[in-house]
Amino acid sequence: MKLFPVSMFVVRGKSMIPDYKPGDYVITFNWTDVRAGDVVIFKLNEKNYIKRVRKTLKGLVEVAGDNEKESSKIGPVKRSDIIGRVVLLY
Amino acid sequence: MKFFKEIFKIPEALAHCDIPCGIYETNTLLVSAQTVIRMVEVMESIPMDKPSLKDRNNFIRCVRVKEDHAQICEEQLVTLWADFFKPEHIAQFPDLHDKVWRAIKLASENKLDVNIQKAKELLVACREVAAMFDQVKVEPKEDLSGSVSDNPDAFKKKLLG
Repeated sequence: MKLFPVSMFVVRGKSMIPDYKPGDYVITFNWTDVRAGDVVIFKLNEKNYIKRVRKTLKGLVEVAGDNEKESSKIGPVKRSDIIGRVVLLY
Repeated sequence: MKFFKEIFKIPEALAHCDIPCGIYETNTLLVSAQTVIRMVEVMESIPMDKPSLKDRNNFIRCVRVKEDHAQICEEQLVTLWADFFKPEHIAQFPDLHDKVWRAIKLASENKLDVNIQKAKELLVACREVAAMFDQVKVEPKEDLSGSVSDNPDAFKKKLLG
């Protein structure tokens, strides 16, 4: 369970085009589970990433970018590394 | 919202593949270089004396496509240079730095100019980089992306240790 229910991030990079462009701001809801199709923010090697959930498995979530030219299927991340589900784009 | 942005430092969420996925290719690079050549050829075929509105429209479209694909060449070359090639590759190809640098410069020059010779030189330079890439590329031993659904337990065990 994360300390804060919501977090705010600014998107960098083009792997989530067209839905999420560089410079877009997103808000995540952190007190929720994620499902296939959700866009999530997760932490890996002290960096935050934004990707879409492709598959879910107990303990693991497989994520990938929407823009396949820019993002390869990067495989699964641990559920515990997921910060939250993107609920608002502005 | 501007107030929030100025008061709080909003963390970045990276939307690019900075995770070392190990997936690299040169098809995009070569197709983009060929596109630059083709756009120059089309631009040269458009009549400059009294061009029609359609000619002007086509010319501008070609400029845009040429610009975009030269930029793709630059980005692909920089990705290979910075992410794919390793010190052992430099030892294997002592002129690797020079070849990649020259290809990047040519991509940039093709944005500035409409010159079929430079466009062809760009393709040759990209092919040289692609040839080095082909010699050292090692195909991934296993496809992790498909393994989740094929054998979830083994896959999970491998990842979580």
